[in-house]
Amino acid sequence: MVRWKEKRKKIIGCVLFCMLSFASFGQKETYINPGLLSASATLSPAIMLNRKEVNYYISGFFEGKITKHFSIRGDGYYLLGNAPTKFLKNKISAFIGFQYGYPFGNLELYTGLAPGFTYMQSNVNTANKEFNPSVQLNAGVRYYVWKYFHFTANFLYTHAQMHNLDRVNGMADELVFSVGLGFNFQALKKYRNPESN
Amino acid sequence: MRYFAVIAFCWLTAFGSHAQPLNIKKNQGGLFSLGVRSTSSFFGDVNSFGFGGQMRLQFADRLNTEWFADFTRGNIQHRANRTDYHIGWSVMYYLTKKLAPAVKPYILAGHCFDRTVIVDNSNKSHQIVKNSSAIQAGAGVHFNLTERLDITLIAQYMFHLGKDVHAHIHDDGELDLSMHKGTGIEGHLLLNVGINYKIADLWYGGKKKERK
Repeated sequence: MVRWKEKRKKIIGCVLFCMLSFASFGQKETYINPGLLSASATLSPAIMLNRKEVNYYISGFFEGKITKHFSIRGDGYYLLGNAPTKFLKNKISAFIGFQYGYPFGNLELYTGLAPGFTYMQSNVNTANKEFNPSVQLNAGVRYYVWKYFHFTANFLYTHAQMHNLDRVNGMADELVFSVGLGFNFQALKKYRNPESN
Repeated sequence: MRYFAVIAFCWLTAFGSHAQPLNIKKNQGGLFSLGVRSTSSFFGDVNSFGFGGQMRLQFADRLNTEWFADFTRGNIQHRANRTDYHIGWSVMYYLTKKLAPAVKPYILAGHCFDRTVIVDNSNKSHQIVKNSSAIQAGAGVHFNLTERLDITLIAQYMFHLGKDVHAHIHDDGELDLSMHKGTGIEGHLLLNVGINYKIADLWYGGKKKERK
């Protein structure tokens, strides 16, 4: 019983220490400012909405903050090797659009819209390769842990459709999920030392 | 790699220009901006979806011009596909003189050239191509996020002049592509949502020289 009490004290102490250091860290330095450039690359699973299939992508983004809330963002997706029984054989997407963020200290919730292009090839007819317009809607959360790093989790809906497949529904809408480590860099000198703000 | 470097350079240049305030001469004439947009077409033979880009050059406080190019694709019952290319321009008349209010509505009218290609999915050589001209009119609204950055919604009706192309699927399943000659009018509603960034006031440089 005594040992358990000691253990509990230690655990509570550790948690309090972490919370206090975390909070004080958050109060002193805020990295979400105009001029912040962010980028990341990660592995993303995707659920197809018109088929019972899951695809895997290498995904990445590059983003620049115009104001504390708004940024311009570019995204790219590359489909990893798929089984021949699946609908998609190849898919590469690129988007550019805007994003709105709600910063809470160094934590940011965001949502955005971006038009783009998608190159697709289906296992239904491998001779057919298409280049189609597409669009993405995304939402996510990010936590900036340091002036060069952040953690990110992103949900994304993409609309894309193949039009040249004969008597086959070419809808290729997907929900893409990605989690990972991102890199960030403050491009504007006046925001590089957040403590001074 | 070369393209990536060019895109990265443009991105950083546009981004760098944000750090500077948007300097304008006496009025808003000369404001130059660039943007991208998603386009959806409704009420035509085929509902289609596409991507486009535009540049704007403003001539007066209330008068702006938009020069655009769109690429849309649509599906005809999974038997054929339709691709449309639009390149054209519109004159925009603002209902307010303010530079960047939160909401800036306008009306527009313009002209464009277009190319339509309909292809049979079962036989790619079975296709029909039409080049024509169109006029468009409608209304739009800028949602100004900052002085330089806006999101724009546009609804416009586009009338295509000249020849008209159609895909008919007969009861026996046969696909027939046809072109109706003459001076027919084919129309469809275009809905655009886009993002636009004001690069600079092109007339501003001249003013600086005058001052010197």
